[in-house]
Order: sequence, then C-alpha cells, then structure tokens
Amino acid sequence: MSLKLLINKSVIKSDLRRFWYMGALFMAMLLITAVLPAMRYANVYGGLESQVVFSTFMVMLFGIIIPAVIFSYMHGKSSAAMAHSLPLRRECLYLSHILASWLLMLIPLIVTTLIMLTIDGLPRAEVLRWAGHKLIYAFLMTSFGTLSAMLTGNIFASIVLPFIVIILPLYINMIVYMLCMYYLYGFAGNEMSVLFLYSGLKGAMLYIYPTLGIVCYIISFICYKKRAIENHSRLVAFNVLNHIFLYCFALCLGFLGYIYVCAMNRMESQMWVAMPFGIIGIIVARMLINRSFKPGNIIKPVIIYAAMMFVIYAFVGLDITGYEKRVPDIDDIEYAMISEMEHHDPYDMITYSYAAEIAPEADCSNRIYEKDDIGNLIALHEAIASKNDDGDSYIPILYKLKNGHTLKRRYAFNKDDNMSVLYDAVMNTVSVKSERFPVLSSAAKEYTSAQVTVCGANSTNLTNDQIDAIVESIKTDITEANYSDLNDDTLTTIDLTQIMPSVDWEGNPIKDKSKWVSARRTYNIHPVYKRTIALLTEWGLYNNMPSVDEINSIELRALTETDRINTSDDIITVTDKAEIEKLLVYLRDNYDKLQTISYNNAVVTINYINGSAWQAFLEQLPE
Amino acid sequence: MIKVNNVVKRFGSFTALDGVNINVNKGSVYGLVGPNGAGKTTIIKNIMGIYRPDSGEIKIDGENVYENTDVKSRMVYVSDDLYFFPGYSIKDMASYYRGIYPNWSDERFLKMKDIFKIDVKRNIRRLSKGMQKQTAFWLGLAANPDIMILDEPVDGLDPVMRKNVWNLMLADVAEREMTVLVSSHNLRELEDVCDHVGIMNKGKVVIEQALDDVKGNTHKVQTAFKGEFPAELLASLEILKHERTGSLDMLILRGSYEEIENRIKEFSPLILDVVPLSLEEIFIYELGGMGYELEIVD
Repeated sequence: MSLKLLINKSVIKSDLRRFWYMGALFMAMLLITAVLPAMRYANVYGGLESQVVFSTFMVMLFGIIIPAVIFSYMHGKSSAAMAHSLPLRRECLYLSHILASWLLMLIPLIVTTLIMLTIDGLPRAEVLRWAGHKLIYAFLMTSFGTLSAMLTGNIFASIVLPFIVIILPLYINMIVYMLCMYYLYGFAGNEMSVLFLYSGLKGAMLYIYPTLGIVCYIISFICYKKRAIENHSRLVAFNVLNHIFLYCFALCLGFLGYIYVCAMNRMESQMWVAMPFGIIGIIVARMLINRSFKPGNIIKPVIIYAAMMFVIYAFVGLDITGYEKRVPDIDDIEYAMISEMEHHDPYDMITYSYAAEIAPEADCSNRIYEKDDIGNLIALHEAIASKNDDGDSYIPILYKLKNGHTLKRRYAFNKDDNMSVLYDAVMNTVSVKSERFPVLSSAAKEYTSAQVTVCGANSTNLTNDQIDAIVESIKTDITEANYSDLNDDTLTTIDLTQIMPSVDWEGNPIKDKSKWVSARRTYNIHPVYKRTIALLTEWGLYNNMPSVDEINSIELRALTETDRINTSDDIITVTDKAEIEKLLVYLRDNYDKLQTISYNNAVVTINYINGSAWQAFLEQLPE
Repeated sequence: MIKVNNVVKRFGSFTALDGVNINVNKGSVYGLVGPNGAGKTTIIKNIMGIYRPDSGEIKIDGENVYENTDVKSRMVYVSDDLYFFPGYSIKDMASYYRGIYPNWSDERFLKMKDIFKIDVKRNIRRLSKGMQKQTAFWLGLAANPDIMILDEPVDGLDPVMRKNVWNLMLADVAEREMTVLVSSHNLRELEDVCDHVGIMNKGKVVIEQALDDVKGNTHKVQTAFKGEFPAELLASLEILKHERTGSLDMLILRGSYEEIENRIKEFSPLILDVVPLSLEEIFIYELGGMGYELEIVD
C-alpha cells in the first residue's frame, strides 16, 4: 500500500490549521512550566526533572486533549457523515489525524528543548534527557487519548476516560487494601503493589511505556476500523462495551461510596456498604447509555452486581485464598525480619549534604538468618494466626523467600502465656533488637555526637570519651534487657548521631567522609538501662534539677495511668521556697515517676502520674 | 450503475432497512421518495459508504462501495445536514477538497463563481442556510463526480437558485452521463427532473419504475352510472381508492389508460373522465394503500 493511500496531506493540513491553538497553548504551558524554572536551574539531587515537574503534567494533559479534539469529528452526526463520505479509507483518516496530533505535540516540545539548550548553566545532557522523557510521555498519552476517542462517543468522555484509566490502578489498589485491612487478619499491605507503574521513567518503565503506547495505538486502529459511525454522540461507541461500562461504573461508584463511609467513620467497614452506591451507579450508567432520564429495568443488572460483590466478598471476607493461615515453610525462607519494610529508616533525622543516600551495605535493616530464630518466629506466627484474635500487642513480620517473593503480615493480638514465651524468644534476639536500635550494629567510633536531655528541656553534648562510653553502655543495656522492658517509662533521652557510608546520585560510593550522610537516632532511656543511668548520674546528667535559688515556681499537672493526658485543669503551683526545696528532694528521689519535666524561665513544669504516693506527698503541701 | 441488493440495516432493535433493492442506471436521475422515517437517508448513507450494511450489498459499477476509495472518489454527497469546518471559507474548503478528490477542477470551481455569486473568502458557517446549500453544490460539482447523491438538495434555495442548480446538474447528466440519486419531499420538483422513481415505505422500496411508467400506470377516473355502481367493475380493476359523492364515483386505479377506459365503457357510464395523476398524488394514494393514509381531522 503506497504512502499516498495511508496519509492525506489535506487532512493533516486541515487539522493543523483548525487546531493550531492547541499546539500554541501547549507551547505556552511548556514555557511556563519548563523553560522558566529551568532558568533558575540548580545542581541538586533529582536534576532538571525535579525542578520542572509540572511540565510532565502538561505533556500528559495535552497528550490526552489534543487527540480527543482532533477525533471529535466522530462525535457529531453531520461531521462524522461528512468525514466518512470522503474518498478516504479509515486507515488513511486514522494515520493522518495521528500524525497531526504528533506534530501539535512535537513542535512545541522541540522548540522548548531548543530554548532550554541555550540556557546558561543548564547541562545539555539534562535537557536532552528531559526531552527524551517527555517524548515518551507524549507518545503514551496521545495513544491513551486516541484509544479513548475511539471507544467513546463524546469529547467529554474521551478526555475523562484516560485520566480515569491512569488513576484506576491506584484506586483498585486502595480498595483492595481497605477491604483486606477489614477482613483479613494480619493483612500488611498489598504484596503486588501497582506503585511501580507510577515510578517514573526509569529502568523497565523506559520500555514498558512505549510498548504500552504501541499497543494502545494498535487497539485504537482496530476499533476505528470496526466502529459504526451511527454511534456518534453515544457515551460508549461500541454496544458490546456498554455492559462493561455499566458494571465498571457501578463497582467504581459503589466502592467510592464505601471509601466515603469509611472516611466518615474513620475506620474500615463492611463491604456491603458499597451496595446502595453501586445501585445508584447502575441507574446513572444506564441513564448515560440511554441518553435519557429513564434507566429502564435495572433488576437484572442489580442482581449481577450483587453477585460480583459476593465474589469479591468470597475472596476477602471468606478468605478462600487462605491468606490468613498462610505461614511459609522454614526451608523456603531466606531470611525474616520483625518489620513491615525490607528497607527502612530507623533514624529520626538524616542530613544529606552532598550524598544521595546511605550505602546499601550500611542499611540498618536487620535480618534474621539463624534457623532457630526463624523457627521461633514461625511458631509465634502460627500461634497468632490460628488464634485470630485482635489485641493490644503488635508485631510486624516479613519473610524474604528463596524464590524472591516477600510475604508480609502485621498482627495486633492478645498475648497469652504461651505467646508471651514465643514472643520473648523472638524479640530478644540481637537481630530483632538491632532493627529498632541500630546502635547494636554500629561501632562507637562511628558516632560523632551525643546529646543528653536534662530536666526535660535542656540538652548537654557529651565529649568524645563520653560518647564512646555511653554507646557501649547503651549497647550492653539493650542486649541484656528483656524486649518488653525496652518499652517502659522514659526517664531521659540520648540523641546519638553517626555518619554513614554513602553513595552519590548514580550509586557510586563516596570516599570523602565529610560528605557522608549524617543520621541521628533518639534513644529513650528506661529504668532497665542501669549502666547508662549510672554513667549519667556519675556525670551529673541524670535527675539534675536546678537549685532552689534558680526556681521561682514549680507547676504540677496530673495525668492518668492509661491515656497520659491531662485530666484536670487543676495545676498545682508551688512558689514557697521551703516547699520548693522539699519538692526538689522528692523529685530527685522519684525521678522515675515523672512523665515529663521541663525548666524554662525559672519555672519547672512537671507532668506526673497521679498515683497514691504522689497524692500522699501532695497532701503534705499547704493549700 | 448503482445496485443495492437486499440491504438490511438495524440500529439496535430497530430495523431501518429491511431488504432494500434499488437499481440506478448510469446517466439517470433517480428520485427516492417516501414518508418520514421510511429509511431514505439511511439507504443513502449506506450507498455513500458512511454506514456499513448488516447484510446485503451495494455496488457501483460492480464494485463494493464500503471503504473503496476508487469508487468514492467519483461520488459526491450533498447532505440535508451540511457540515463545514468552523472558521473555513469557501476557498479553504475548496483547497481541502482539492487534496481529496482526484477529479477536482479549479477551472470549474472558478467558473461557477459567476453563477453562485458568493465571496469565496466568507466564513461558510456565517452564511445563511440557503447559501450554505449553494456552497455545497458548488464544491460538489467542482469535484466533477460521476455520481451525485443528494438528500433534500434544494431545501432552502430560492426558486431562481433551484433552477440554476438543477440546470448545472442536468447539464452534467446530459454531457458526462453523471448519475444523480436525489431524495426529496418536494415531489412536484422531482417530477420535472427525475426519469426514475423509487418509493420507500417502512424500510422497503415498494415501487421502483421509470417515472413515465409510474404515471402511466395510475389514473384518476370520475364516473357516474345509471343506478348503482356495478360491483363487477370493482372486482375487475385494481382500485387504490374509491369515493362516492352522490351519484359521482371517484376512483384511483392502477392499470393502463386503454384497459381502464375499455373496461368501464363495458358498463355504459353516464360520465367517464380519465385524468393522469401527479407524482404527489400517486405517492399519497400508493402509500395510502399500504397503511400510510391521509388522516381527516374533524
């Protein structure tokens, strides 16, 4: 077939002439979202792409709108008749219009790229990478826009549909997540996450996006060849798709209502909440299909919709896949973790001055490799799963299997005696403790600073010798303590800051230690930290209250045992110096009974647990 | 030239065309008439390759029309619901058609400027309905088609312009043997230009004949007899309508003039007048016999 039969210059010229303003608008948006920010380019992590993020959105937006507008002639009775009465085959019309849409996208992109190449200080490689990425996005989005124009019968639907398709995986992911959270005991997140689809143009996506675009173009061409022109202005251009639209619309609206109810109640709900919203969806979809306010007989679609809901319920509510009871075999496990994420960040604050991230080998995700420890974990897991009983104790579990898959669970459970034994056996391993307390995996020399919080507000920096000593004492205290004691009341806190081996944006190790990542972790010091408390007391950094002369008043606030919030507006204020002195002695001796203590502007504020010993003491104080 | 063979077209559960058969000879002017909703526009759109028939075939000079650029390049369609690109002038549309119709003639296009007398730089959509119709003819004829398919073509044109347009088309019919298929409700006008006619009703072509044969085959007779109207006469003739006013009988009969006259004379009528019917009258009486009658409102 000759090129003349496949492409018609008149059609292309006509499209460019009629829709030039779309290209001009796209050009203007690229100037605003790409060229202007690029003029203030700074060499930071993420490069040019991170500084012109909105340009990607513009490419996506116009990539969908331009084909929708160009193919909108199919949506009108007279325009569709005129176009298809011409001596042009459908493939010629299709290819000519596609070419016109590409030109309207390409010309602004090329012009923008050329302008950006002239900007001083903007690396050419960055500009060309940006242009390449935008071309791929443009190709993909125009394919979506074209397919949508082929499947729908009006311009509104043909613009809205691609955006729905783009967010649909996320939406389905969210619904699956919410249903599984409610129905599946131990659910810890979707193991097949769709988020990789939105990870941007890197890795496999560089090939997946263009391939998806080609597939969409092929499908849209087939649709155009088969499309009946008399279906102009219908919402769905193919009668056979009406049912698919009807039930998809009902399910989407049904679960949108479900999300709304869950948000109103601030918790997941029974999925049958989606039923009434789905029925509304059926009625609305029918009205849209019929182009009338009369939806017709909806009994059969409602029954089918209810059956679909039941099938979904069977998968999650009845757990026919056996998710809840699934515990991997010990021989299939490469390693396990008491964590929800394979790679996580146990630090409270990380400073990246020059580096991109912490080197993988320095990652503090700590893995359980020992067979005995894994065996203990499996025994605990089986006990929790078989009991299937929500409670106050919490444990996240992650198994990395030898086949490369990951199995995650998250349990809130009632810890009975048997489970307590199993739980302690699991949690008291060094590997598990290291996941929460990265100091166990570090050497003292890696720490560059340590700050001790004094009197709840002030902090003191330790010397290098003190840092070495305190790190070793913390490590010993944690190793020797029972895991449950590591959640006791906090007496004081120590912030430890260490530098971590790091890599640059391309993943190359950074040799200059001054450019490494700095990571800080706050360690709550509990009563079980005996060595650490002893050290701090020796250095005068523990229960170190100001002198009587430095204090004008002490304010005492009561808290309950359970919820740790103020229950009373009554604040006892002590201003008498003799009483202050008496109180200070008591506070030093009962430092562990205090919730928080702060000293500011000569006022010591103490939140204390409202226990009988306190009450007895308070009664000694004058009114 | 145009052969429509047993075409069926459905829109959902509604059957718009129910086995339509049409034959249009080369160089003829074929009038397609029928009540509203008979399927005229639908069959026209099938002939133009806009719709695809559910069954049956449509051939032009032995070739299928659908997606056939060779055939369609020789056809022009002037719809009753015209479409021109927004913001386009006549000149712009001419430029567009020039790139699509291989037989487009700029010379002819410029020559017709003297007939249509519309500024080619004017925005077509801002023209009146009649002027837009003229533009459609102007552009269509400039493409030098072998076949013109017209749907309510002269609706909106003033009498002078109608005459001009028909003259142009008939000149092409005479000189180039252009074939014209026209659908219209203006039967009086069609009567003057058509040589063949097809009457459609409820998705079928019920009558298809040369116009002279149609007119020569249906007559109006006014007659009166001494005494009662002879019953044998009713049985021996094909009567489409019979009205009696006093002693005067008005009959619409199908058959040849001689046959009707001779048969009635056998019964010695007191009065016998046989007059030819117009196409409009034939249309009304033929379809009345098929259930599409004139309703008398009290």
